[in-house]
Amino acid sequence: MHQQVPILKIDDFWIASVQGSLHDQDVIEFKEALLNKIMQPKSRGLIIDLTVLDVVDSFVTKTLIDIRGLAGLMGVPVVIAGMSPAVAITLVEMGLNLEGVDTALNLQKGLDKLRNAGKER
Amino acid sequence: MLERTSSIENELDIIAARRCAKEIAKELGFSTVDQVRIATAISELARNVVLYAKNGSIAIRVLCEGGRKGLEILVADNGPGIPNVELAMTDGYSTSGGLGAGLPGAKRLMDTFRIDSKLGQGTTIVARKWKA
Amino acid sequence: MQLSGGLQVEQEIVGFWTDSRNEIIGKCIELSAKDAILEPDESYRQNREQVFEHLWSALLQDMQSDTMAKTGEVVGSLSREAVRYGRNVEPIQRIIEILMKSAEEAARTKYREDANRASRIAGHIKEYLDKTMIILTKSIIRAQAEVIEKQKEYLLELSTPVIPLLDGILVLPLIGTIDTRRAKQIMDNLLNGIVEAQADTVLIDISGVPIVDTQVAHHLIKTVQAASLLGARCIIVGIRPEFAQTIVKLGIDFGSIVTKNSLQAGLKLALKWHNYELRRVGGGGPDASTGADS
Repeated sequence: MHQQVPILKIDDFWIASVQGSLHDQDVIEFKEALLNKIMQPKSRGLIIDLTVLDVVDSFVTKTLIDIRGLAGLMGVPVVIAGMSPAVAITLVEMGLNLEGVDTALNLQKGLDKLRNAGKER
Repeated sequence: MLERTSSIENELDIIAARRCAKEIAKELGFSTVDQVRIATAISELARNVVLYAKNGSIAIRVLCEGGRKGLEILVADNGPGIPNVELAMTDGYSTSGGLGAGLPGAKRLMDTFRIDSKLGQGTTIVARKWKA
Repeated sequence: MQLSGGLQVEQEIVGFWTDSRNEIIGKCIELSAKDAILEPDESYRQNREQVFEHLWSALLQDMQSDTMAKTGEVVGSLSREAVRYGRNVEPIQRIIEILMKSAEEAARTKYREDANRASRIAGHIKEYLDKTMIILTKSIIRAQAEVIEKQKEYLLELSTPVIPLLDGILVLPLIGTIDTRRAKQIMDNLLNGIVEAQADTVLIDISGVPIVDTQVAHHLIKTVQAASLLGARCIIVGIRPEFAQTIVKLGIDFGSIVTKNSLQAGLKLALKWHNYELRRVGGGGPDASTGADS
């Protein structure tokens, strides 16, 4: 089953809405697709929207951390948005607290965060 | 007693097992957070099977003891086994370049957690969660 | 609940009970006016006659149907009311005793010519007295259990409130001991509160938590971490010196968790984060004239 994560653009920000679950093959393609997008000019930030994701395990967590690292190297800030309370509690209980990764309650707040971050520069 | 067994060979099986467990947990009346805890624990354990043992099986069993309802996960494989279980259960320890959170993480999410592993024979993990 | 003696005796007590209504109730009022427990009791002063009537009527129905259902209902409702409002339950006991005593005296008077009959009736009355007392005891226990259950629920609700202050700022005042179960509930509550209020900042006040040890510290850290995954920053206030010492001594890493030494300081910081500023306009103290607007 091949799932492509839709990556849209709002103003100068990329928004990747993760649908269903990410698995190995998809992850590699996902990272590639993301890199291709944020490489383009006028890429002020990237929001990864987890709203539809009901389970986030250590594999997905590592993927998110990797993406943040890659984007960081390219100077593009990343915000993880839309995590559910249940997922947040589970991650923290497992000992995965995504330290260093910027998070936002939802897409809108994620955009606000990236926009404000841009203003401060 | 409801019990469902399926084999774990690849990523898709992990997702299927997760979904199945979440449904059962929901039917049993587990809270939303507990459903996610259970599904995540399964995801971790099943992923270990795929990573190390190439294939194995997972059984999900409904428990009913003294008026309490619960769910039991049994993950078994015939893989190489874990040389040092104690080390494997330490946070951050990983032999696959991962975060090393799988086993200890899954343990923290469940109420009881038992792991038996023999080198060259395989690993069996039994974990239970009771409805609050 | 079987009556002894068979059908004829049944009719005997029913007949007596029905015929002697006025005598029985009359005597009840007389006795209760002199009763040390019942007389001063406020709760039944107004409708004393009504209560006796109620009980008398319930017992009559039960005698006719050979159950204790109606009496159970009346006694049950009296008990529930008393327990719920924290009143003494002794008056209820006295009411039952006085009713039975009055009935017995009425019987002895009515059947003074027929000693056997009088004794039989007295015997029945005693039986009903015993049964009613058992019902009373059970009702009180049940009513108390209900109250405790309700209190538990309220306590759980009250104990983890999340209060929206303004513009995406929440306050979480923690009061009482925090064990693992409560900690989980607090975290759950807080995160749902953040989602509902779309909050960006949470002020966690732990000054009301008496015992703050490593367990509590870890619960707190986890809660703050979970909140931050939802994009909300936390400010912890109310950390007492002993707690601070414990954290340092045990080398617990509070990391980047922001703390302030008072709710006021925490609030000021939260407002600053939200681009607000607190400024006093006018003289000191609340202004009486502006009270009219609110």
